[in-house]
Amino acid sequence: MLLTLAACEKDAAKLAYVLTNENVKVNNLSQDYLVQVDNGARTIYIEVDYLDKAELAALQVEFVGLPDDVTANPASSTFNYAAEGASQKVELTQGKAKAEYVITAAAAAPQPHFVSIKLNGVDVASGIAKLKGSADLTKVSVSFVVSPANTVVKVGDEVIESASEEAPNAIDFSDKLNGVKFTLVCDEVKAEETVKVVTTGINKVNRLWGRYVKPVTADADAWWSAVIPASDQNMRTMTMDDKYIYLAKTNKTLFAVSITDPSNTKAMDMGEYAAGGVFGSCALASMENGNGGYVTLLSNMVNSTASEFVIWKWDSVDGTPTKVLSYHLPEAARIGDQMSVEGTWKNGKIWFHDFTSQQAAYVFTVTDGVISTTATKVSYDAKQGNWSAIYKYDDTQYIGGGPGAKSRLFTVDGATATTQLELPGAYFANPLHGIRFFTFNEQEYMSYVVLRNSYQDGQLRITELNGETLKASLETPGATWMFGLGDPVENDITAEKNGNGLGNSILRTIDGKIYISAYVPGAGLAVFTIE
Amino acid sequence: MKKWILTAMILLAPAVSCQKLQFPTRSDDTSLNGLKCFVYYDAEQPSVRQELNLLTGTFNRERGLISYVFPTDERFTQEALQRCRIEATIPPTAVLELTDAGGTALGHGFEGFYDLRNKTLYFRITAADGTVKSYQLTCKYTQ
Repeated sequence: MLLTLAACEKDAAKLAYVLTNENVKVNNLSQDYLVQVDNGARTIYIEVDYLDKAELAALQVEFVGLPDDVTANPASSTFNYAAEGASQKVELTQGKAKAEYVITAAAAAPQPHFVSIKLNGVDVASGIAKLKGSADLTKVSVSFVVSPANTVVKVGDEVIESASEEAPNAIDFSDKLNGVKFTLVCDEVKAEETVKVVTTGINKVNRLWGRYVKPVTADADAWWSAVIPASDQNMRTMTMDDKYIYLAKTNKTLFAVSITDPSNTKAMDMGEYAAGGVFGSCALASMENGNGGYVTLLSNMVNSTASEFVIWKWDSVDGTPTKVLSYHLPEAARIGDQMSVEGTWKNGKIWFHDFTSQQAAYVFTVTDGVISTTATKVSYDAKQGNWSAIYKYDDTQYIGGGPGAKSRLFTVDGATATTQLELPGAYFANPLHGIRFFTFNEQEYMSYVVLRNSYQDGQLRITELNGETLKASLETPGATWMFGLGDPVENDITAEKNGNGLGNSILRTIDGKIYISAYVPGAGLAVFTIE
Repeated sequence: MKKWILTAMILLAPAVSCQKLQFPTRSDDTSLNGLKCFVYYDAEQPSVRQELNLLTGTFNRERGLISYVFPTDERFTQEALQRCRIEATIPPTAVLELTDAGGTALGHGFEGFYDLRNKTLYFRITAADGTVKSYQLTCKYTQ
């Protein structure tokens, strides 16, 4: 098809005008094209894109931008260049000078390529697709659009069809280093494109250690068995700073367990701590002190008007506590079953859900290490269960979690909390505890503890938040990682009744690594790290 | 002694002059390995520019034909496309020479700003051994 005929000089007078590619216009093409003019050989070569190959059968060539004294004959023509050796002549005239040019045209070789390619619905950009770490990379669904349309796509010798809902495919992308090499073939022209996967979010969750109420596969731990025997409902709460996990027992004992070495334990100095309150119950929380460390706070639990609600503070695991709050309930409420904190000991808030009304929380502010002596009562528009807690997402959005009611997403404005969403039961069992939010490797997550089977079996769950808003993320949550807190963890059925339906999880970033401790009475305590 | 040395030099001179000089093979490489365009789209900030790879357009390497259609981008205005610099990558022993459409030499290398609004530039690359290949760059602006 590439035919260039020799030029024919018709007139002895030489044409002074130098014809250029800009004088040759090809109409009705979908793609760009090339024009090469050889004024010495008097040839014009036109190359159209492979996608316009069919247009060669009726190619419309027009001469444009010629000076006034130069004419082309024909100035515009439609000619069939598709046949082998096809050519057309055009005569240029300038005064008495004439020159005949021979026009040939051809289609370029195809350049098979992906117009678009998606892996599990995610666009590939610069040969790389970002998939979630939770995705099964051995079975990735690949959909694509190719150009030219008759391009065949192969992986190895196997022809791959673009995935659709009716006909999904599964390509192994587990070799993240080398990716998958696609061969695109069109009219015997081959092109190769390699696509690699990088993962976002969590690749792996490691259980650093676990201590179980009724160990089955793990060895029994003497200290743990003594402190938390099976069916003991008195160890209701847990918290964690950057070195220790703290467990408070209703007999007014506070224990510390090393995050990295669970055999490193101690009963802490209770000093002059005097709980008062009822049932010996207490609530526990660690709070950043604003100077790179933490304080540990332990409250009592009160349930009648004018009774004294107290909070004691430890500055270190070896320290003695000091009383940092004495507050007398102004009404018949019950606070101190759980404590949730936000901010720091220099500038923060401490929330106590009211068990009695189930529709309010008493919120204390902390300023430069001083807890306000009055509390703001924040009222919810719906009940949030009995021994619940309120967990902060951002300045206005909070989630309530606890037994007796489905968790709710609230917006908090002053002293009013308004329900935005009741978390869908299809995804979120009741109760949820220790709700924490974090972003890891470009993916946002919510971690929490959930109790199932009538409060028997505790699990830590980590759920992807993929929506534009928190509400949208909770309405249709993403993939969820689940880890039993009892032993055996494989089936996580402990069948050990947790009568109070309590539990907690705490998330800390320690030396750049995320640690999550999760605890459910009747099941056990475990520490997880994120990779 | 001096007489002896002089005699030896006279006798050895023909032998030395018979040695054939060895010249390295000269390259015939006239390939265009890269062709970038820098569009200085912000008149307020002369150092702000956008780099474009012109060889990603339609390129017939064998014939030396390049056609590049500027992408639809609010930065690539008629005004901005009058401030384009061009940078070519050629073999180290080759020379790039600009020409007009008829092949008359205009100067060496790409210099200064070019107005690339629907413009064709002609140039040729001359290899070390004298091999010449002509190139034609057509830039198209469709906005």
